[in-house]
Amino acid sequence: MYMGYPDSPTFLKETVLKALANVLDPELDRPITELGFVRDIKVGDSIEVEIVTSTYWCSPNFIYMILEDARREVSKYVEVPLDRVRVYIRGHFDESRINECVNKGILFNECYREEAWEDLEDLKRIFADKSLRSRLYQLVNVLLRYGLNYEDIVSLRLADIVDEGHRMVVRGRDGIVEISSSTDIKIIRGYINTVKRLAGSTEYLAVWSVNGDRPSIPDIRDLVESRGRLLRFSFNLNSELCSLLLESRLSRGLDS
Amino acid sequence: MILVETPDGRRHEVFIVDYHTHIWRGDRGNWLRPSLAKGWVDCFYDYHKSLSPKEYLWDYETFLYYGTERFIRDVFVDAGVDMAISQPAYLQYFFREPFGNTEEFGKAALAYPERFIVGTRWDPRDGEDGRRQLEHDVKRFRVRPWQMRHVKLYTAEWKDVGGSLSRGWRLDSKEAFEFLEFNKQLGIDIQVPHKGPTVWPLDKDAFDVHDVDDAATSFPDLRFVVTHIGLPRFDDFVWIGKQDKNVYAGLAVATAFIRLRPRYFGQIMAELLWWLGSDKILFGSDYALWHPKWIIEDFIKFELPKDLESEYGVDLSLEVKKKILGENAARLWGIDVEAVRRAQEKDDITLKYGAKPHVVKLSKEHVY
Repeated sequence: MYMGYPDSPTFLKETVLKALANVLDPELDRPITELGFVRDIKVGDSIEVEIVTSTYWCSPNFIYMILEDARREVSKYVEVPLDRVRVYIRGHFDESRINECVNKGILFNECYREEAWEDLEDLKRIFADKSLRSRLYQLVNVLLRYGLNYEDIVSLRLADIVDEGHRMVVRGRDGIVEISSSTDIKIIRGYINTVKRLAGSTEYLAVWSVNGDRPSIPDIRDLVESRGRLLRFSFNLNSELCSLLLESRLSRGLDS
Repeated sequence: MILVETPDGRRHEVFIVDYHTHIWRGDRGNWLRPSLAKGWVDCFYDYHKSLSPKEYLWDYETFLYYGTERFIRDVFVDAGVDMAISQPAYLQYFFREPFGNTEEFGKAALAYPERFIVGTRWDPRDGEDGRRQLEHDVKRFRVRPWQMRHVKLYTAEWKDVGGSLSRGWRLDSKEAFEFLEFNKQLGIDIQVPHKGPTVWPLDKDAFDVHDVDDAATSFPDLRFVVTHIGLPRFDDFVWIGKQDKNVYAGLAVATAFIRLRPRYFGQIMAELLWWLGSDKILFGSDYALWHPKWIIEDFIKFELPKDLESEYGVDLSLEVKKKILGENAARLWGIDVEAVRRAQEKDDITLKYGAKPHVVKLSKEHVY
């Protein structure tokens, strides 16, 4: 956590960037920093962040989510009041409206009063569930490789996973499993962090949706055999197309 | 026509139908609201630039407007496509004359009804005027059974409705269902939905394909070709494509991955073959976003990576490729392939422009 604001601008910018690494594009399930969406960060009396996405036509609702999250994360992480953090989308068909609304802190359905009925909570939930399940799919694949079965996996509690940094210990029904592969550890840790972020504190490891529901064994089987792979691939495909388009777009400038 | 020559010396005839092509009007003189029109064309150009091989890159000006002549040379002569289908998105809030249009493609279809297959579009917000126009277009262009059998349904079309801007519509609305009912009367039995970034209400996911599911279930006699494989909701789309017998996958955009991102293309095909099967996938280039020549040649030579093949338990044999490249669309549009071939032998595209079958040789290393 950065404590000494104002301080060196470089250090502060890095801190802002770290905060933005917690902001995921819901349709791609990847941090906006990895996707190259962060175009500029200015620090001074207030913090200003400029975001650019792959096309002029990105859906206003998803842009709104990204900007709201970015603003909240920066404010929280850098410990500055929300009204001193401004985030802007650039090169978007509705940028003036979106930028004004987001930085005033008003809800999406107030901003688009004639065109939206509700706030974005339902939409967020749909994509949060997808994100959660695509990571659960990865987690289950790891645990299956270490000899656990579907029943073991759904009955594991969060407390049964002990993260010792360089290795993880899983206390299964039939004894202890040690995991030392750094890739596998990263997947498990990533999953647990996602659960905490999206579903809050839960007793069980396997979580099916952001309201904390647990999956059934058929749910898990279906996820492993077909749907999880598809979900994961769909996110990856969107990310790849998005990166390609963004690269082309930035190479010709940003007027549209 | 493509003649695939296999190492045993045999030649396999492949009839090619490109379900997704355009002769668009992106020229500056046609920009009604310049920032929006330019935003649209620039986005298209980014698609073109990011996935085309270098030797197929066009300059921006050519991309804006290329016309029927260039279309004939590129699509029929150079690429060996037998029949090309239009998928017009009008975008009348952005452009003076419709961007994707019925007129220019329609004229070409009247001149070469065995080459160009024209369809149109409707918008439920057009009401009675829209129905009249649709009937009129069917009368003008239904010169063969396969003409005017389909509509492109772009749900993110912007429209001025009584002085206020409406930024899209839903396929499961009452008004859209009335149009679908009217389509049945007119013999427009193929719907090609395309999702865009704005749909009313804006708090919902505009790319969500579940309204296609509702429409397809409610109209089992109609067929729905979800274009661009439902991107960016590929996961939801394949699920619907599996459930609904009358939902098909249109490969436009997906095919463009084949050269620069072959692994992604392989996985797209594996997923589609696994969920939908080989009879419900249609080849499309989205010309002029991408030139069909390199896509078709790459596709014929394409082999599914071994690991994907065994993981998914599917294969992409030459027989499967023939279905995807033409047979499936020919069946869907009711094309009499033999009659079309006979007519093509004597048309100007053969006699004047010099279209002839292309030979693609497969080496011993290729699996087919």
